[in-house]
Amino acid sequence: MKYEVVMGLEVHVELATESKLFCACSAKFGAEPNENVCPACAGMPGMPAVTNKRAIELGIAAGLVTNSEIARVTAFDKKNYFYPDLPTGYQITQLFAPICRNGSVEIETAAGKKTITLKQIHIEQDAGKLVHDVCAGASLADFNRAGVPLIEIVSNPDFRAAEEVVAYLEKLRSLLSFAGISDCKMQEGSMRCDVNLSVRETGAKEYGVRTEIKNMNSLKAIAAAIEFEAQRHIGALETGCEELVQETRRWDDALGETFSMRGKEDAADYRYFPDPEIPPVPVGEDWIEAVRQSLPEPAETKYERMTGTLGLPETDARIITGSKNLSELFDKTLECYNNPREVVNWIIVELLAIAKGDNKGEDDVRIDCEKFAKLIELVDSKTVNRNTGKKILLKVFEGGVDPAAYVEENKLGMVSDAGAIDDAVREALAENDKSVAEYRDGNQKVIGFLMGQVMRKMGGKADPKAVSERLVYWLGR
Amino acid sequence: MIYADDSIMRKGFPATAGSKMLENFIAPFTAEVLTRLDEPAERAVLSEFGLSAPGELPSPLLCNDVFGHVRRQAAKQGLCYLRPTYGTVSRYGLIPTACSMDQIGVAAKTPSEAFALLDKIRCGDDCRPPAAPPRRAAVTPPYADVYDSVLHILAYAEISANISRYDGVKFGFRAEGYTDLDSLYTKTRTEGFGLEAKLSAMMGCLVLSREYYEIYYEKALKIRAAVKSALSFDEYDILELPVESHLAVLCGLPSLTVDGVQLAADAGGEAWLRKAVGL
Repeated sequence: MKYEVVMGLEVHVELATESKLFCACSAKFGAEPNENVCPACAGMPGMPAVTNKRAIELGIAAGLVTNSEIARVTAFDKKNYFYPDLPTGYQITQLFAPICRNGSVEIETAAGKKTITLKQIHIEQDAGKLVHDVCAGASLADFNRAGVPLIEIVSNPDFRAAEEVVAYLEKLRSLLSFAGISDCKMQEGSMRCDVNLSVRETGAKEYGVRTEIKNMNSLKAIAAAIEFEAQRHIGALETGCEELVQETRRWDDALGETFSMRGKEDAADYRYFPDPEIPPVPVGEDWIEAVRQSLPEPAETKYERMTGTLGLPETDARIITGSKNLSELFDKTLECYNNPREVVNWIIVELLAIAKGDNKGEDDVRIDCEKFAKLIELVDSKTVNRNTGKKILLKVFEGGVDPAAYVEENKLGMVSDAGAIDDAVREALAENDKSVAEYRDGNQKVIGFLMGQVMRKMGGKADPKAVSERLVYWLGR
Repeated sequence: MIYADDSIMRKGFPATAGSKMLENFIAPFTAEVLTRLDEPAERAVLSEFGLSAPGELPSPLLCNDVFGHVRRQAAKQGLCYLRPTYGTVSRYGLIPTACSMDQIGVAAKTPSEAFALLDKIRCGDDCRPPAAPPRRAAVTPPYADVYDSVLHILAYAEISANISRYDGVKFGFRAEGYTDLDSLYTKTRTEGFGLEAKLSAMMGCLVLSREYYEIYYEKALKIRAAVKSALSFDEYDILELPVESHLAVLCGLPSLTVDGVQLAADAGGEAWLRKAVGL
C-alpha cells in the first residue's frame, strides 16, 4: 500500500517592533527576567490597551510579501484560557478579521517548483516564559516576552514532504527577514513552527486523523519530527495496533520521538470574542501603498538583477541574496565602488573567511562598507596586491582602519614600475641558477618558487601579474 | 471631600474593587481622573466589581456603574447620577468591570455639583452647544424590552475575561493549601471571589461557549448595534427614560438621573443635559 503525508503549517514569527503590541514596554530579546514589564503586560488591571501601529504595518508587510489579500478593517479578539505564562488570562489575537487572507508562497525543491497557499496571517500577543526550577521546587515566570507582537502564518494542507516544509520555512525566513518584518531566529524562538500532519492512502480523497506536532526548534528537528510522526501514522494504519487520535504531540529532540500532550490543548473551548476595548483598525489603500513603498527590494528581484544586468554567477547571487545582511552589505559597498564582480568576490571569498575566524556568519558579519569599498578599489587599481589587500581587510574588519591612509603609512603601495621589477627578476634569476636550469629543462613549476623570490625582494609589494610576465620574459632569453 | 470608588486606583494605596481577590493589591499608578482633582479622593468601597447594589452612597462620588446599581441607589437616596458619554472620561487606572460599558460617572447632591465635578475629570469640552431649549420626548426606544438581557449577556462575557487575571499567580489574593496549579486556581478563585463574581464568570463562560456564542453573545452584539443605528435624536434632544433603563449604558450615551427620571442625550450631548436642568 502507498501512503501520502498531508501537512499544514502554523508558523509563529515575532515582529521586529521596538515595543510590545499593546503597551510601551521594549520587545527586545535578551533582557534580564522581568526587566521589560509594566502593569499592563504583567496583567494588572487598569491600563487600557493601546494598539502598536508598527505591528499592524509589519502585518501588512507580511501580507505584501506573501501575495495575501489585506483586510480593509482588521480587529482583535480575546482568546480565553488559564496558564501561568499568560498574565491576563486571555490572549489578544485575531480570529474574526485577521490582517491577511489567501496568500501564497512559491517554493522550490529537488522535485521542482510548487505553490503553497496560505489560509491567513493574524497578529497576536506572545505569552511569557516559565522556567521550572527543579532545585527550588518552583516554577518561575518571566513576562519579558508577554505581549510581544507575533504573526501566525497559517498555511493550507498543501505540503506532501518534509523537504517542502523545510523549503517553505527557508523561503518564509528569507521573505520576512528581507522585508525587516522579523529576524526569524529559530534558536531565539522568534520563529516557531507547528506541523499538522495526517497520512492517507495515495489517491484517497478524505484526510486521515490529524495530529499537531509542537516544540521543534530547528529545521533539522522539524524534518526529523515529520519523518517520525509520518512513520508512526503509517505504522498505525498498517498494523492497527495503535489507534490514531486527533491530538497535540510534543517533539522530544533528545529522544527523537513525539509524545502526546493530553491535558492543556485538548477539547479546549477558548471562548473567542471580539475584544470590547480595542477599536478595529481601518487599513486604507494609501496606508498599504506606503508600506509597499517602504519595503526593500525582495530577494527574488535582487537575485534576478544580480544574475541579469550585473552579470554575476548564480551561486554567488544565491549566497548574497540568502541573507539580508549580506544583501545590504553588497548594496552599500557597490554604492561606494561600482564593480559588482569584485565586490561579490571580496565578500564571499575574503570577508566571510575573516568573519568565520571571529565566529560570525552571513547574518552578523559587519564591516564599514565605505572602507571596504576603498580597499577593493586599491587592489583593483593595483595600488596594492591582493595578498596585501587581505591583510588590510583584516585591519579594516578588526579596527576600522582607513585603507588608503594605512597603505600610505606602512608604505604598502604596490610597485608596478617595470624597471624595479626587472631588476628584482634579474637578481633572483642570477641567485637561482638551478631553478633556472630546471625551468629550461621543461619544469614549469619552478616559476612559482621564482615568483616567491622576486616578491620577497620587493617586500611583497610587486604586482604579481607584472612579475610573472617579466619572469617568463627573462627566462625565455 | 470627594469620594472615589475603590476600583479607581491611587498609587501606593489599596485598590480592592470591593473584592477579597484584591485585598492586598496596592495600586501601581494613579488613575487619570484622580490626578485631575484638586484634593485626594477618599476611598469608598461599594460592591465587588460593581456587580451588586451598594449601601448608602457618600457624595459627591466618582464611580463606574455598568449595571445601574449606583444609579438606582442614588435615585433612592435623592441624589442625582451623571454618566458622561462613553470614552470621555479616562479609564486609565480604573479596575475594569466590562470594558465596552465602563465609564466613570458622578453621584452628587445636585446636577450643578455633578456637572462641576464632571468638568474637572472629563477630557475635552461639550461638543454640541445647544442654540435653543432642548426638545424632550418620553418615547420608548427601539428593542427596549431586551436591554436588560443584552446588557447582562455582554457584561457577563466581558467580566468573565476581565477577572481571569485574578488567579493567585502574580498579585492579589492567593489561597493557602494548594497542591498543584489547578488547585491553586480553583482554591484561590473559590475563596477570593464573592457569589456575584462567580456567577458573572460562569454566565460569561456560558454565553461565550462554542455552543451558545451565536445564541447569546453574538445576538446581543447584533441587538446593541441595531439599537445604536435605530436610535435617532432628530426629533428630540432629550429622551426621558425610567431610572432602570440600560439604554444609555448600552449605547454609550450621556445620561442624568435626577428627580426619579433618567434623561439621556445623543453621544457628546452633555450640553443638552445641562440645558434640560436649567444650567
